[in-house]
Amino acid sequence: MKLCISSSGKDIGARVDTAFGRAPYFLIIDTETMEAEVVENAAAASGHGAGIGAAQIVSDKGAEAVLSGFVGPNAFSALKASDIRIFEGISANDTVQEAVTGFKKGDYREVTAPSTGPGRGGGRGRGGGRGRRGF
Amino acid sequence: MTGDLQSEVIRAFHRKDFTTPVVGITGGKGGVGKTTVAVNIACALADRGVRTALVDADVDGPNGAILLSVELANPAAVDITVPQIDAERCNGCGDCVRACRLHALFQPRGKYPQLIGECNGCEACIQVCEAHAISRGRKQVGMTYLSRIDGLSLYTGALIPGFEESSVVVQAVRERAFADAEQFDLILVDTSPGAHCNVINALRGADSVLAVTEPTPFGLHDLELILNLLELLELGGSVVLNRADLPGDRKKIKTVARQHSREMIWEIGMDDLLARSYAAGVPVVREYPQAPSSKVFQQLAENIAATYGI
Amino acid sequence: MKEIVIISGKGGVGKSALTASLGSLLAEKHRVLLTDTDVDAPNLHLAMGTRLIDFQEIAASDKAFIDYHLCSGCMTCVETCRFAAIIAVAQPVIMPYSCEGCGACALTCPEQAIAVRPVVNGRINIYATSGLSLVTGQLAIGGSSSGRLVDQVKRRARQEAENSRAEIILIDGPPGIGCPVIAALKGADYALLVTEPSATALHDLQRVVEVAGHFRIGMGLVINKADIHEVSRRKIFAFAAKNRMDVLGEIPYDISVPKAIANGQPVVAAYPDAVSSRQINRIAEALLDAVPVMT
Repeated sequence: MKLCISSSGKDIGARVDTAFGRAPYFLIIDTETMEAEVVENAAAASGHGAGIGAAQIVSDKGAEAVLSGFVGPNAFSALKASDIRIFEGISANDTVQEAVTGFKKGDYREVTAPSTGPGRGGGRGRGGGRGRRGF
Repeated sequence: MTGDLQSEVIRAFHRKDFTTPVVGITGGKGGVGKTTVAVNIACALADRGVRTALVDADVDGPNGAILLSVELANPAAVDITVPQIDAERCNGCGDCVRACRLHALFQPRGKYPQLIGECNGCEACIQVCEAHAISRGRKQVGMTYLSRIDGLSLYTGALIPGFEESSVVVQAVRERAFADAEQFDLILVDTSPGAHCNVINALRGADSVLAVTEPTPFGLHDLELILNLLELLELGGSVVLNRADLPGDRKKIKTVARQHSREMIWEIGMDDLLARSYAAGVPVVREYPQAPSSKVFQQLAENIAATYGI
Repeated sequence: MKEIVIISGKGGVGKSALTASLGSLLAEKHRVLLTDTDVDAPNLHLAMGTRLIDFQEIAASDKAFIDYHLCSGCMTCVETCRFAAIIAVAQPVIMPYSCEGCGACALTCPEQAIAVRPVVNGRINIYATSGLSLVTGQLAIGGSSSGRLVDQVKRRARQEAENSRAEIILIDGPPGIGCPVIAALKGADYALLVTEPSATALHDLQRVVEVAGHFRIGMGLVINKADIHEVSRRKIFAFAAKNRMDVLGEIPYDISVPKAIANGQPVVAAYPDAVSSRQINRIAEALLDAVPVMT
């Protein structure tokens, strides 16, 4: 499977980065062959929407699953729209290599609902459904 | 930008198509009494027969109506444009996704782009779409209201909690009041605390601004900040020193005010009657017109009326 | 490491004074890093004797710039801008205070004369005070994107906390409910809400609780100047009960607090036996119960 891991560095020996949207790099690893491709996360420095920008990068690279520490609600919605599976629970002390090993052993939980966070974009709907008094 | 161009830009920033004077009330620091000052000056003016509008542009937490014990009426939604993508016309080029600097759009593999993140209504995506596949949808981010009480018109702006577009709601309430400007002799604008785009947008079109502060080290520090901002926006006006007997350094306040060419400083001491009327939701100038604070508000109102020949 | 944000909705209810005192008390038993995210008007450093030890300029704001060598004066940008940030004088001029940095004008300029670039919109100051460090954000005069500056302040605070192995990051939050408040709440473990008994403060508290609720974090309430209006005080308790929120403590109106602040000290340091100090001590304990900190 093509697995994407959020990373603090460019190679498989680097420490992971637990925050999906702001990780400096992604490593896209084929879990069968262990071939790895590194992608710079151009969205990391964004003021807004780093998670969605990161999700776009990852989706465009054809990842089938993402492994990170924390995937925010907007990134969650985006990844799900591309049918990308999401796994959370890596620790900041792990290297990417260790995370892949752990993944293959089934150490990480698959996430089916967004982690805590505002979730403003996806959760609210787009049509201005908040027609309340707002006061 | 040269000094001259800067002045020209500021004049254009404040340009308006009516002659009714606009006086802003701001302060930088929260809780110094901006709204209390605004409400009482507005009532004092209205009671003198001045046709007065008060704009509550503290859209995060508009409290003018509470201090006047008045219901919010005549609601109007504040919307921004959000993109609606027509799947039939979309050619999947992804230009809109790349154009969005907020990364609000996401294009799933093999599908058309969706709006997932927070959109601020800039329409960059619509501008860039060569397939003309994006139309303008609406997203409500706030409300404005118009209430009338005893000769005073209160325009209120309220952001819907959870949205970020405070500045859009500020603009909407200011524009709603400005559209009716011909009906008024004077417009007062009460801003939120702070010094960022909420406040700057609220003060757009002002002719002068009252800077409200308190004598504490916090009040002093934040007065400096807000006076610097007012200088940048080329807005003069007096300083109102509220709760003037709180522990602090009144001399330093006067020094800072003078350094920024604010000659007039109005002092309001801590006044039991003011506190009582605040708690009761009635302006002190109406409930206790003989209170020391009421006298200052009335003088301020006279001063403003005289300044603008009302 | 636990991150606690102190917010209120309404400005001026005593966040900074309380943060200073709580920081001071918590630092007696834990390693604490203080942070001030009220970037428009940062006051926390004034409430404690501090000295500036470092600062960093931050460019967290994007603005559009016109290259007048290429500009043909067609004014397409003036029409395109949804924020009324470009005005038509002899040539189009972008007003930086209103520019959102969205780039729509750059996309529609027929001469490709507009570029969007980051600009300095503030700075981060690092202060030291007895046994504590404080990371503060300060927005530049007329600067925009205070929310993004708050993001940067928190990022720097987390770095400093990691370097000093801090156990608690205590954050003085901005007033209001908008973008800077949302940025301050992101990633926090607990929100400490400060209010006072008045209809206006309660109204703003309700609004900020709605925003904080989206983050699904623990929340606790402190009532400042608790004895100034009994009717409003009861309404606060009713609100807390309805929202299943603990009231961590109440502080009566105490002139010792402004007196201490006027001397640049937290009240728990200047007047440790004052009634407010005693209550703040209880609140500190209640806070540690609510947010267990591993030592």
